Amino acid sequence: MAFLGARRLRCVFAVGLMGLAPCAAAAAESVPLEDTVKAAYIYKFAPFVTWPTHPAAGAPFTICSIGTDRVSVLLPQVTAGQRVDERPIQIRALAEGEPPADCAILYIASSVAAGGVLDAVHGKPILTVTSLEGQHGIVQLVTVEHHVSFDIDAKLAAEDGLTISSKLLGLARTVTRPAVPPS
Amino acid sequence: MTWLSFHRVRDLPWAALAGAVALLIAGVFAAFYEEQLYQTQRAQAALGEAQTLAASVSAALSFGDRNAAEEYVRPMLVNPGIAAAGIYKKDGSLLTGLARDGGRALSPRLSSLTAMTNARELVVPVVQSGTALGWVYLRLSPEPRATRLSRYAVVVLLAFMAIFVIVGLGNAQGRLARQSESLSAANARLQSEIAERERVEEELRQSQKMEALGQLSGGIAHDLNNHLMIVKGNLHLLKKKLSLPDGDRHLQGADEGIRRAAALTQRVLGFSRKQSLSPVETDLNELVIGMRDLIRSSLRENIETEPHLDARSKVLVDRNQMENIILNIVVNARDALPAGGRVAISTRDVTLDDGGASRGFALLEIADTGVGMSPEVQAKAFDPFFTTKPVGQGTGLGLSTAYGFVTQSGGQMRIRSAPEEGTTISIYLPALVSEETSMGDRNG
Ligand SMILES: Nc1ncnc2c1ncn2[C@@H]1O[C@H](COP(=O)(O)OP(=O)(O)OP(=O)(O)O)[C@@H](O)[C@H]1O
Ligand SMILES: [Mg+2]
Repeated sequence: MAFLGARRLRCVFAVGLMGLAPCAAAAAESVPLEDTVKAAYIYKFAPFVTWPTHPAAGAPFTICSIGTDRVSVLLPQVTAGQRVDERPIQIRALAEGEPPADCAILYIASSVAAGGVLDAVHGKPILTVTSLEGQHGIVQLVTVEHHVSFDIDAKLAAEDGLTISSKLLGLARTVTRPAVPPS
Repeated sequence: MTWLSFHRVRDLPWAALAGAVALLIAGVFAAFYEEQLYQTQRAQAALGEAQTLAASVSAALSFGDRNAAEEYVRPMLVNPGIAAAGIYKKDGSLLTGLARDGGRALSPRLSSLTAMTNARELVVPVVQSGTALGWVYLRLSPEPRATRLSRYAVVVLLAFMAIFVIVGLGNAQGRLARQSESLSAANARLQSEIAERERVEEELRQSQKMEALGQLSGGIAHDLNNHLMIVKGNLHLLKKKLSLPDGDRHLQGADEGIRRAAALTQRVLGFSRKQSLSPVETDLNELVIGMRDLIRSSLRENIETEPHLDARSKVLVDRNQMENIILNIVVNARDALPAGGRVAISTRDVTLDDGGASRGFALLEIADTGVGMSPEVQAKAFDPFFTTKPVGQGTGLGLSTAYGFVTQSGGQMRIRSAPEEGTTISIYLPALVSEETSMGDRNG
C-alpha cells in the first residue's frame, strides 16, 4: 500500500489553513505561521461543539476576543468568508469588563489575566479558548514540536452546558474528562 | 444462429423459433437486470462506506491532521472492492489518501466539488453540524472479469439450453408431422388410383364385351336382314303368280312375321352401333312433350306420369332413335309396375367431370316406383338378350340398344335401382354449345 499524501510538508503550520496564502508566501511575512494556525483553529472548533441555546435563524455566529495578542489580531482575517452551519462569522473584540453577551466562543488573549475572565464566564455556555501556557480555558491551544495542537477540558465544558464531539476529543493532545460522563 | 445450416432453419417450425428468440431476449433482459441490480447494490454499499468515512474523518480534516485522517482511511482498503480512498479539503485539494498497489494514484485535486456516484467512483461531502468541511473520494476496484462472467454464465447457459431443447423438439416434431403428412397423402393417392383403375377396368371389360357381342350380333342381323328381304321379295312374287287376294290370311301372317323379324334386326343393328344415325339439334323437352300421347297409351290407367322438364341445353341426337329408347324405358317401367304407381320423366342440365375438365350435359331421367332390380340383374341389364321376362314377351334388347345409342351419341347411361325401391334410368347427352343456347343463358 502506497501512502499517498504522506509526504511531509515543510511548513506544517500551513496544513490547517484553507483559502489562505500558500506557505511560502506566509512564511515570508512577519506574522509567525503558528499564530495564523491558532487563529484559524478557533472557529474550526465550532462544528464539533453543541451549545445549549439555539440562535435565531440567520443570526451571525459570534466569536469574541478579550485582550490583544498576535492571534486575536489575526481572527478577523482568518474567519473572513467562512461560515458555521450556514451562519456568517462575526468577530467582536470585548473591552475589559464588558459582558460576553451572544458570544459562542471567547478567545482570551495572552495580554489579559485569564483567571478573572474565566471565573466571570464560568457557568455560561461559552467555549473559552486560551493560547498561553497554563491559562486553562476549555480549549487550550498548545505548540508541540512546531505543531499546533490543543488540550480540552471536557469537564469544564460540561459544567458550562457545552457538549464536545468525541471526534474533536479524539484529535486533542489531552482531554480532561468529567467524573460522570454526560449522557 | 449461424451454426444452423440453412436447411435446418427452414425446417424449424416458426413457433419453436419464436419461442427460442423470446427466451434469448428474456435471458438478455435477465442478465441486464441482474447486472443493474448488482451495480446498484455495489454503489450503495460503497456510498455507505464513504459516508461513514466522511463522518469519522471530519475533525481530522477540519484541523488538517493528516496522520489522524490516514488512520481513518486505511481500514477502507480492507474492502477489496475499494481501489482508492482520498480525503479532500473544502477547496478540492488533497489532504491525504491511499491507493492500492499497482492502482492509479489519487489526483491531487478533485475535478468537481459536487457529490456524485457512479459505477467506478464517488464523492461525498464531509459536513459537521451543517458546516461543510471537505470531501471524501472513493474509487471502486474494477470487477475481475471472471467474477463478472460467472454472473452472466448461468443466465446465458440457461438460455442456450432452452434454445437447444426447443430447436431439437421443434425439429423432431416438424419432421414427424411432415412424415405423417406425406404418408397419408400417399395413401389417399394410392386409394384413389386403385378406385380409378377398378372403374376403368370395369368400363373396359364392359365395352369389350359389348364390342364383341355387337360385332357378332351385328353381322348376324345384317345377313339375316338380307335373307329376310329375299324371303319377302319371293313371297310377293309367289302372291302374284298364285293370284291370291290381297287380304289372304296366310300371306298376311307371313308378312307380319317378316316385318317383326326385320324390326328385330334393326334393333340388333342399333345395339351393335352399325345403325346409320341422322343426328339433329334436339330439344329433349320438346321431344318428350311430343311423345305425350304415345307414352300415355303405353302405360296403364293405374300409372301416373309427371314430367319435370328443366333442361335448357339442346343435344345432337337422332330423334326417331331417341323416341324409341324413351318408349322402351317407359315400357320397362310399366312392366315393373304390375300394381300401378308413378313414372317420373325429368330433364335438367348437369355438369360432369369428363376426364379432368368439367362439361355440360343434358340429363334425361325416367324414374319408376316399381319392383326394382337386384344387384345381379342390374349388373346384366345392359347386356343384349338379357331379360327376366317370359319367352315371347321380352327380347332383352331394350336397354342394350339404348346403351349402344347413347354411347354412340357421346353420352353416358346409368342405372340406380334397388329391389322394391324402384328404378331410375339416367341418360346423359352432351350439351350442344350453340350460339342460341349461350345467348339464352345470358338472357335467362
Ligand atoms: N324399370 C325396370 N324395373 C325393373 N326391372 C327392369 C326395368 N327395366 C329393365 N329391367 C330389367 O332389365 C331386363 C332387360 O331389359 P330390356 O329392356 O333390355 O329387356 P326386356 O324389357 O326384358 O325385353 P325387351 O325390352 O326387348 O322387350 C328386364 O328383363 C328387367 O329384368
Ligand atoms: Mg324392355
